[in-house]
Amino acid sequence: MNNRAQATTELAVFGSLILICLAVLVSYGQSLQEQQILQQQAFRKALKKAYDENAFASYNIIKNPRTANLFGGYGEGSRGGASSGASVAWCLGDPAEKNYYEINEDEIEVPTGTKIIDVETQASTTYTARETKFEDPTAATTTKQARLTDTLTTTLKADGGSDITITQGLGADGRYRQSTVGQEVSKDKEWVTPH
Amino acid sequence: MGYASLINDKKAQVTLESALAFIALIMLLYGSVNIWLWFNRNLAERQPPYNQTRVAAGSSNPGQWPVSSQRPITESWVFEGK
Repeated sequence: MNNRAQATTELAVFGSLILICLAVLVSYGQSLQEQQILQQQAFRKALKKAYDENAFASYNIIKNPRTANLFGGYGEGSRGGASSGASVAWCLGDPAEKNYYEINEDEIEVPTGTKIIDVETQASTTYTARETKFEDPTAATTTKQARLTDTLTTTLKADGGSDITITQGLGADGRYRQSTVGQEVSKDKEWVTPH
Repeated sequence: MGYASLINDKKAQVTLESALAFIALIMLLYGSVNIWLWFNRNLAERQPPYNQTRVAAGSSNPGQWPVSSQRPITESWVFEGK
């Protein structure tokens, strides 16, 4: 009996550790990929802005991608964070100075003379989940429902000007934008198990 | 005789269960490593087209973004590595 208890405990401990190691490996790969995409994108966008406006352009991207959450409820997921920035001088003659922030799906132009010294993010999340099971003589029907509302408020702290605040909500496509503040994202699943 | 047989039966069960768990573990490890390799391959494949479109990106005809499409992750990639 003791041997069996030991085997079960070992399985519970080491099995969980192995699963966590694999999950860390995969999520590390995902964050490396996102970082590379953001670095490339920030440089390209800075280059385009610099060319279009004959400027010394600075372009910063802040993204909050939704990722799978192994420890969360059904359809809950979790909010990640990744950022990158690039500055490009691509101009003829006297360049203008431009500074842009792309926060998730919204782009903001920082007024000339305003220097951003810090970025702060606050979040408000409401998540509810419900599972129901209905059984009759022929089959068992299980229904899972998840409702998620996630609101992000990002503040660009300015030195020499007023702070810039932007509020964004999670949309059904998993992206945050101003137009989806307060929107509820739902996920439903139903399956039938015949007896 | 009966006691020895019971011990042997238990040993056989443990070996059988270990073998099944080991197979599942190896499959999980193999799949996870393949997903990791998929990320790795994406990183490498994204860089050359990005470099090749560098000059055009700073012109009046900057082209489309993203410059390359992401390789889809499929069951055959995860379970067979191809």
